[in-house]
Amino acid sequence: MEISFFLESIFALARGASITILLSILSLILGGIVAIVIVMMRLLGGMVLRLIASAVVGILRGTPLLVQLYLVYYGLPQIGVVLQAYTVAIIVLSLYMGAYLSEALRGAIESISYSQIEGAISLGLSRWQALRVVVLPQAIRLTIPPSANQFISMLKESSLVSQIAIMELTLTATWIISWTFRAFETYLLAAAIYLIITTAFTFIAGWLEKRTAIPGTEVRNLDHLDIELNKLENLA
Amino acid sequence: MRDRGQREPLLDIVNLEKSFGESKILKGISLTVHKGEVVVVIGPSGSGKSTWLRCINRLEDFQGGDIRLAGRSVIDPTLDIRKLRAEVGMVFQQQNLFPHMTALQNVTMAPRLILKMPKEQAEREGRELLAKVGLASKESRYPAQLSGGEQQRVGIARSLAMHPLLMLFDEPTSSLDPELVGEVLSVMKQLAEEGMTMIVVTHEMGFAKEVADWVVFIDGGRIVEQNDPDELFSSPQQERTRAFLARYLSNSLRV
Repeated sequence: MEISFFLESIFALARGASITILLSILSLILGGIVAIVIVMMRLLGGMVLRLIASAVVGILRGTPLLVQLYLVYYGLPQIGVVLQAYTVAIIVLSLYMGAYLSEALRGAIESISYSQIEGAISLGLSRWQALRVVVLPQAIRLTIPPSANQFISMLKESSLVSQIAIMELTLTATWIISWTFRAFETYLLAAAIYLIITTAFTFIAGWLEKRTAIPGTEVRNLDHLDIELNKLENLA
Repeated sequence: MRDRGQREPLLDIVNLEKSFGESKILKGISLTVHKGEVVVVIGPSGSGKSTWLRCINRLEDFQGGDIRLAGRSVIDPTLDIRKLRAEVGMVFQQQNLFPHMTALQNVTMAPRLILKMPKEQAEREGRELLAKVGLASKESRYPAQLSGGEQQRVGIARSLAMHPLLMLFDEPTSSLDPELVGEVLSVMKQLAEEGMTMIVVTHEMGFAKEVADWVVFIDGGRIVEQNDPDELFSSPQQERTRAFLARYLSNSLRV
């Protein structure tokens, strides 16, 4: 392979990787907003809003991402809604992400003890103030690990948007192969890039989790548990 | 009993009734509390004493009767229920501090948010209150870094920070290890000596004897007997009071 073409391939992959990262980050941010809206609907809304919210979450989580992409990209034009591939990708990925994040956020909110809310209410806080000042700051912390998981999933699952002709990392690799016929090296390289990105974000998430932990309630990781279990075993 | 005279009562509970579905929890409870008085409420579990306390700041609704605080009915539809709750301090059985806030932040949050107190003033008052409950050196600790007794004392400071008209204590020491009970009771005793109006639901008979102006015995959703603590403990008039006290004393001796 010519050295200049090799360099060009590397640049192309880097560009593809940046689109993969950008799409994932956008879907995390927009999905976060979607999640908050969904949870608010389920928490504060009336019967109808609650039903709509849980139906939306059910559909988004219960159908394959690829089918959702096809439905919006190929299906909607049939009823006159034509969207650009990037718009489709961002909308579908964000909604999909939002559905999962809303479940994580709901679980986190439900895990906050009711006695704290009661304490807040007894001081004269409104429902909304108790939610904002007492529940959400804790719930968002608890949402960090599952959100990080979901984000890392998204870094990989976003490869599906290659199917609607978005030049992210996977499609870039495929495109290079169509010129070089070097499938093994190129896909191996693409896989390595995915691994580097996901590993980097795993570290960032771990750091963020530690950084935001409430003093005295630091999350016990498996190493801690192992040490504690060993202690107990030695006592027995 | 103190001279209760003709003064306007701070809290006037008239014939309070409450049911959960079919079962009647409170069957007409009446009680008058004047400013500066300390009332201790005792009774078996399930007697309705906690429920009754929680009606005062409308954490529970009730179906019959009335509660008047400083002359105003708590069920007056024009009353701002949040303002009512802000005026009534409450300390709960289980420690329910906000775990993501330091001791000082726990104390200053509500005054800043509800009373719109400037940060400097809220923190100055917060520090004074933490000093008062003996936790001056622990203002930047988080609840998980405090013992149960310390958490309960922060909880008392948190309520006091709202300058309440009266303080309600719902079994504040029941969930604590025995060696931590004393520190909480001594803070409560100090509050009583400073003239705070207090209603205390507790099983701590020693505290009742020492601090209470009078003791109310509730059983089966009714006030069975109320009297001066010395009178009530030494010569209870009602058979059910006698039985409760006897059972209670034999239980504590067994421990």
